[in-house]
Amino acid sequence: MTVVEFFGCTFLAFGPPFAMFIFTIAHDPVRIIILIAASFFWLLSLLLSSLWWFMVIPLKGQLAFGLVFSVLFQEVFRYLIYKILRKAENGLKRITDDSTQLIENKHILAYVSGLGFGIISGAFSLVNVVADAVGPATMGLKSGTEMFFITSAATSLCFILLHTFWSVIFFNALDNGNKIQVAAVVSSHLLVSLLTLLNRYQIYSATLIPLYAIVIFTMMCAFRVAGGSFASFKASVKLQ
Amino acid sequence: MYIKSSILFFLYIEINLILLSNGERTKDQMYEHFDGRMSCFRRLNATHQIGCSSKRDGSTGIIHYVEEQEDLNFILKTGSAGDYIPIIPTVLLKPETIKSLKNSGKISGIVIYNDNTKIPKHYSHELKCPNPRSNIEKTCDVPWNKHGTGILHDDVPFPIYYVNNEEDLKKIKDCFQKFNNFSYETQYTRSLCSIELDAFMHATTDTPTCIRRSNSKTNLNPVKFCDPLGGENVWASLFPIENVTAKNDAVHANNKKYIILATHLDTTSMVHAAYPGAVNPITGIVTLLATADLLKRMVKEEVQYGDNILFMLFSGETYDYIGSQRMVYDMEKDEFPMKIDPDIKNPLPLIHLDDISIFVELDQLSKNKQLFANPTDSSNNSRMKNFMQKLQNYSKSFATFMYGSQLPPSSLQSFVKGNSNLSGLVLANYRSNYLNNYYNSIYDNYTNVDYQYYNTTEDNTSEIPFDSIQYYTANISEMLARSLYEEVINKRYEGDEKPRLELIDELYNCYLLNPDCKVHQAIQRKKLGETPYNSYSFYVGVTVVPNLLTYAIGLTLGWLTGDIVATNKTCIGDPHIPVYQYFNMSRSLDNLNTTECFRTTMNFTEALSPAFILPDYNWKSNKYSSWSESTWKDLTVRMFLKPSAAHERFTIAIGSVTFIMSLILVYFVKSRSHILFVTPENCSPTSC
Repeated sequence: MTVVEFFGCTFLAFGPPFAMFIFTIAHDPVRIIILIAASFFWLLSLLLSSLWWFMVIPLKGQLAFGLVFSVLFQEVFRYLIYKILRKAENGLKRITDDSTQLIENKHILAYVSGLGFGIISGAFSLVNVVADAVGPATMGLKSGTEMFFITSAATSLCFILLHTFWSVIFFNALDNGNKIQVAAVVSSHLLVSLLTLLNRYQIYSATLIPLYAIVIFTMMCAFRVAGGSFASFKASVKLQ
Repeated sequence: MYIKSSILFFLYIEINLILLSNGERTKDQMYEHFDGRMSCFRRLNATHQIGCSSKRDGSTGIIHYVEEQEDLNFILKTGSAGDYIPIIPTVLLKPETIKSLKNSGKISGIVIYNDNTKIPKHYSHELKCPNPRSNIEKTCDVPWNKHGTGILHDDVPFPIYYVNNEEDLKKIKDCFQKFNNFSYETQYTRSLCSIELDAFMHATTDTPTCIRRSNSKTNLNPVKFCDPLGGENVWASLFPIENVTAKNDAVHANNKKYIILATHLDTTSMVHAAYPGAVNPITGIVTLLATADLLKRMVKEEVQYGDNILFMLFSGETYDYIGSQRMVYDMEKDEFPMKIDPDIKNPLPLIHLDDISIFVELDQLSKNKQLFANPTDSSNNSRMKNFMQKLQNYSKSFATFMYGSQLPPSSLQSFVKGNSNLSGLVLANYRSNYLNNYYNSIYDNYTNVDYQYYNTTEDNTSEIPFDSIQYYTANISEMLARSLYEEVINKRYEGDEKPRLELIDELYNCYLLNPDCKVHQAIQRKKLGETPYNSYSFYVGVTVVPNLLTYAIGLTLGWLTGDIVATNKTCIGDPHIPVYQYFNMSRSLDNLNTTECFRTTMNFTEALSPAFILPDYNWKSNKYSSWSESTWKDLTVRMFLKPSAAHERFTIAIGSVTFIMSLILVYFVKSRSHILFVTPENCSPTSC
């Protein structure tokens, strides 16, 4: 990958999360702290996944095995951060300026921690690829195609967005004791992760199209969960 | 305590994770790395730079595999996708090709490969007359190396790399066929197989410039841009040089004369780490070692002798006679065999140029029916005539001995420059044109001397045929040894010592095929085959890196001319008797495991051109060799797929559009969020 490709891929994967960070997170220190805390929890889940993968020696070669458990660990840690954030609500009330908004609207905490999860997982999945790729070459000499980098970036973006939406749905479902929504989040995470296994056959369209379909579907769910509706959408567009 | 141990535990786990995870990285999929050592590099002399250099970060070009001249012309005419690096067979590396590639402006490097079906009839990139600046007058009226193209002495503006590996060549060819070798008009629209040659040379212009820059006082962190070429000369005497008792004697009272039997130790070629050097210099070295071995056995019983014999092997002769110039300089400066050291009670007597009675140099000695003695101008005395007559008599059985007309480029040139009255001759298999068609090139390998390894023992050498190089070398060394014996002992040799064929067979094996041969085991230099290329080769190298091959050859000479001593248990020399050096070495080729203490007269002297020692040397004078070698960071070659410009534009466009669109969208959602999302006051989450 060349420098041009490097910037192309970075913009594609981290442009949208960067925009979300700038406009919705950066102005409030408490949100930044929560974002970082969430990323830390995702990292812990990564550590646990890798330890588990490391310990179960006979299945080391099986990507699917590590992947399934990694998804489960991530969801467990999403639950843990939910628990902690709910416990910390009172404390947060004291230190934040616009406590009314942050505490009253529970979706904001969900959104911020989801974005934290997403950004760190996106960074970890793409950084290895991008770091190796500074140089004059592109993929395709021994294996892969030249579309490898751009599809990797697109997949990373997809996971960043999905983590954000999943957290919104997941937190809300836990608040309301809606077990079906929790199961839906876990199973869609599993489904999406398993879909990426198809990448080894280098039919990237077979992965990317379903992935983005799921992103759009999840986004609509999260939108509804957060209090949006078609009517409110129409109203917001009209106001312009 | 608990925290500490838990941190340690985690560290341990993490390190294991890093070490044990399968390290297949994306990078490994993208690049095919080749061993880049066989690249052309830059050398400098007092006025010029020669050789090649890549751009600072490596020169990249699209691969074009060339089999015939037409393929090369085709790509020069139609290539449209940027810089190319043609992969050309060795036959095509000619001055015309280099010139046309230079002028085309489309070429950023060359890769050469050996096509076994088309071995060139002659292949030498050395000059027609080697070392033109350092020879005595009129030497260069003769085109000694008549096929020489002189590319070695050109300043090539792009890197050259030699693929000497069938496997690597196949990879390059396959990649070219898969990605590049179709629809040349639309090449610029697709990703192309490319190669990057990184051989950036730090030095430029010439040696004085480079030395001035390296010594720059303004630079707090001095960087060395070049190293002088050089190494070590090897010498040994047949009879121990008798040390004198008083210091004054060392300087004046030595009326001993010396016959010198010399040859040179080095060759060169277009690319680094490929210096086979079979005819030049290996035939000369093996002949010298075999002669030394035979002479030593012949004189075993002799006590009375006239002149002593010195065996000398010079380093760096390919680059303006570095070794012999230094030897002459040392002799003139009263520093040979060693400087007078006030602490040494019994110094060696000094040897001067006047003390040389006859200088016999062995040059290229591959098989030929004729043998030529090319004498110096002042060899017209009775002693030389007599000596040459002896050589002629002893050569009758295997070659016609003839007189050459002129002194060829050789180490003897330096000695004649120092003392024009010197009588000497160069013994070679040519008169005025080298028979060796591959002089100083990658094709001067074991097939060029028709060598085959027979792995014989002392008792059974019958397998070696009479027309082999081993027999030829044995005959020459017998001729030389018998003539020299008569010259120093003053009587005909009547004993029955013969040259040892198994030793000659083994020596050729050492230098041509297998560095881990029996001789190197015998002199206790094991595992030479595993040493890195640049410290074990027939290229002179730089003085800062010791050349292990020079040491191995020196020890071999010491082994062959040394005596086994039983008394010296520790096998360490006495610093007050510098004439002897002691080494533990195997008893014989057939008895490698029994080591004995050998007392030898072999020594090394520095072979660094006086130009680099004299503080106010005038570089313009051309008096001494001024060759230096540029430093470099690394020599690497890698092949990869270079993305097309169209693909790059596509990627950056998608990335930028996504980025800008998301900025707008997020800003829109943020500013309308109070309308988009119904706040919990109006709607509890459960009802949404």
